[in-house]
Amino acid sequence: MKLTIRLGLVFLLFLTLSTQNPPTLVDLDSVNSPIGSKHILGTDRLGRDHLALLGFGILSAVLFSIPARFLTLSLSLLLASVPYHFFQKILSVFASVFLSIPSLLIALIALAILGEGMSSVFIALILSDWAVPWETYRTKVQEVSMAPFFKQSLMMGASPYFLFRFHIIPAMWSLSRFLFVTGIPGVIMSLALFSYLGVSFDSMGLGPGLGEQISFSKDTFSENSLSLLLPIAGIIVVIYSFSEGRKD
Amino acid sequence: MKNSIFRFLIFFLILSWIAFSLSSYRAQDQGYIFAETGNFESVPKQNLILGYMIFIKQLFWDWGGTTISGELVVPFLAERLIPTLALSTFALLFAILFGIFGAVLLASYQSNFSILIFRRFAELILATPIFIIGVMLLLVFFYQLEWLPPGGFSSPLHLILPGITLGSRIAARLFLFTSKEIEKERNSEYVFVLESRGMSEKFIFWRAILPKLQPLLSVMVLLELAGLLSGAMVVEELFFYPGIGKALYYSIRSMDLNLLAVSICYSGCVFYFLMEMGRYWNNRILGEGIEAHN
Repeated sequence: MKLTIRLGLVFLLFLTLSTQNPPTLVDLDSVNSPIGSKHILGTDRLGRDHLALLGFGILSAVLFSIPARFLTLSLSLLLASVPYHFFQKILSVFASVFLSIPSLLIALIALAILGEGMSSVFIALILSDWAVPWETYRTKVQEVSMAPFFKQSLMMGASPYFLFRFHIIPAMWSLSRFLFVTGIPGVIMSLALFSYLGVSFDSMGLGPGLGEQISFSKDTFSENSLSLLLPIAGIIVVIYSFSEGRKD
Repeated sequence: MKNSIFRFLIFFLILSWIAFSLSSYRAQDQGYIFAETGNFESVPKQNLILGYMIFIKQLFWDWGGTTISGELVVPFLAERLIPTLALSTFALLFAILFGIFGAVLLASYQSNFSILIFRRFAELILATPIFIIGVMLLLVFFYQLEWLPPGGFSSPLHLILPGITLGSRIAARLFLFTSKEIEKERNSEYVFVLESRGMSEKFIFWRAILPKLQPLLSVMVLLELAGLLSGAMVVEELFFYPGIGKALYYSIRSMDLNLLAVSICYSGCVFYFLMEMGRYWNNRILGEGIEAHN
């Protein structure tokens, strides 16, 4: 079923790009248009094409969440691989502090300090999310560093780079894949929430985020229900397609 | 015990330092707030260590200082603790009722098809951000049916929509966990042994499987409570609910240094204590399990 959903998403993106309606184009002559040949899913109260808003909203959520998750995992892995015990001890106290504060609060404070923009959103996501992967990586690094093959390499004079490149990285590969895939839905949710709360991070001209579309149209549900239902469905479908669960 | 106190002190030191430095960074440039009055002066930058000492003194001796509207911070937060407690209790009860009892009920009837349907529904809820659940409940029960109030905190009715919103994801998590664990236990060896001794399925389910799951579920509920008590910002903001979460959100928006710093300390400490309780409980259960095994 998830494969069908993913194929459906790819088809939706293809359809969005082929219709060539930009999501930011305001057309006051076709406000709240119904479903038709010019606008396949109709328009919102500013005359913006629903299909373009949905397609580009999904595209921006996926395009932001993948590098954000990649950066978070890279930083966590680097921190977990630092071989100094005292450094790890200090980090573990910091990690417990970061875990004890709601991640949304950390992200909002970071955004408030850094201001809006793409890099701020990335930093906010990393700050709010680094502690759990770091704990997981640290446990795995400890497990690898206790293994006989690692100790043998160490005794034979292997350099820290060699140990990192040929022992730690391969051991982390499957764990990283798991953390990456399971973490993407969380990042998409955070991005949707940021855009719902009015934090703008669009610097690629992909239009308003799905959360922002919900916030914009929730008060006019009775006039144009599709404006609200489409971004809601978009978020749920894109998160569901990335979430782990029963394999089809 | 000594070790635990020392660990907490280190934790609190770093938590309060992070809380103070984050909020002071946030509060330094307040110039634009006063732009309409023509006063563009920003708050003078102060020494961080001195500022931290003042913050700690304020926290313990002056009720956390005052908010930008002049109220004492600790009483301001304490006032919001009761609504947050009420909301957390409602959300947790909802989650336990639908998550744990629902899974137990379906499993007791061995209704595999219903379990499968509810699992898919739980996965769908977990794939839905909490603010979307809130917006959808508002649309149905307030805009369309006009059955429930949209926000505030003046009667038990006001708890229903935010409580369900907050509890829905926890209920989904608990349902998935409980139903999968029951399924796993049913296929384990000791259940086959009990069955081969002629014990009825009902007896095994109620007297062997459920008591085994109960400690683990209690720890899970405790950990979920930690997340709830430390403030549900999005839900409280969405439903105009006057709890700790709304105060936190307000403090970020209004750049209220004292309120933000004390709120972060509060959230961190609540979470820490409940996590430690969960860890202690878990260790006790495991310890007892090992003793019983020996």
